[in-house]
Amino acid sequence: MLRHTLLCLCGLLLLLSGCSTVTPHPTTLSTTVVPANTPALETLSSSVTLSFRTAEKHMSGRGVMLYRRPDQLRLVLLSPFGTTLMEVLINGQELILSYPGNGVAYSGLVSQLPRAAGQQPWRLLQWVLSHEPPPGAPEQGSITHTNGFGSEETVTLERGLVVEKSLKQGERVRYRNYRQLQGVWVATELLMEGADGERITVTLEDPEINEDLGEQAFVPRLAGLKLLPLTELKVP
Amino acid sequence: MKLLRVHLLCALLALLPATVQARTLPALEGLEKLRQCFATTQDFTAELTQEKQLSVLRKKLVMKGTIRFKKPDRFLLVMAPPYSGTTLLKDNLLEQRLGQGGELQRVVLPPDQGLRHWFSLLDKPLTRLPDGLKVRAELQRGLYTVVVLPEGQGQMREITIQFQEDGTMRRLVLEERNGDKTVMQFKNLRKNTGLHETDFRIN
Repeated sequence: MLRHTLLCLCGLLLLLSGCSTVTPHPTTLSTTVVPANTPALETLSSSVTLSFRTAEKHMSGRGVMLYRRPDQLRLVLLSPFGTTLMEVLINGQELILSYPGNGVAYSGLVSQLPRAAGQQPWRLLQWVLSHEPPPGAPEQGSITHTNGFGSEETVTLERGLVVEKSLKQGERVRYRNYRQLQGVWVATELLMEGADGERITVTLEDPEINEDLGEQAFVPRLAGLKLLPLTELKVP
Repeated sequence: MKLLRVHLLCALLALLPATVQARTLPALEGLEKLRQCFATTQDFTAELTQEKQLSVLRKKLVMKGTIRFKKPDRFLLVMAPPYSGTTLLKDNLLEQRLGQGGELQRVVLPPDQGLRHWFSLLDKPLTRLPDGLKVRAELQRGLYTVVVLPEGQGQMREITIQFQEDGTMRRLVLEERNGDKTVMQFKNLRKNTGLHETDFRIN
């Protein structure tokens, strides 16, 4: 269950980074007309808090997230004393889940995640990472269209910023507390409501964007870990 | 006369390193000293600075807060913004609230992971080093340094604990095998002040 929950949390975190890749029309939160060549989000690093709630339980944690556009992401979940509880690394379609305390890591493709181990958020990840405001989207209001995955989705914008996306199946992602960092609007709080009623919240605490993350940012750290195929990931 | 004073000063300076040179202690003695310090501590409070350096992150996360402990099984960690959060451990009941106005989380840990269990292990004097651990210890200017090196391929590569003769904890360093390092510095540590149950609450 814990692993499932963490997967869900990580999936949502990935959604957040996807949200951040959206470059909302920047003129809408002020009266100033911002030039069309507003910088885009290329990298993001931040301490994050994560919260996962179902009808039965509530879990939360703090971690560090690194993101590089378009499809690299690292999330390190930390204990209160700073040690690593779990790590997620995504390079394109390749995924590594590491559990240093158990001395094990799982590696494979995102598509190889066992369905019972929380695949849903990863599917949402793909959905959001591919997201761009649909053609013809209004600065204020909603638009329903068929996205690149063939799913019908509704995108809601307020003053040019994407504030909500939902799928016909029931999943919904809401973006809150936009902050402008180096000219880029970044949602610092994200709330997902899954089709089964689970709610996941991610909050960016100290986001920095478009910094050089360094060569090691997305390199696997597998020293001392037993590497297993992702297909062997079990739900505790 | 001036030359003499210079010589005297140089001689004193030459002596200084000898007076502060660290004295290596037998590993068991160092570990037992650490155990004794805990054994004589009924409670303590301290200001905490936690520096987290991930091997994959260039910047260092610096968190500040306060820490409280009371035997047999109470522990409270309160971190200040921007990484605010409160962690309370009542034996094996973990309560945590992260961020400003975050929801309270409760997790019941297995009994053998509770504080009471761990501190009961410190009641008996050590007669030999625990299996699977290498230990280094030294004493320098009244400051003990005990370095624990777990053998094998576990998560922790090295744990360093620094404390004073009277048991006052000064520094704790956790080095993980993945290259991450956490340094915790304790300041204004006060021992055995008589903390109450009301000092261990999450607002």
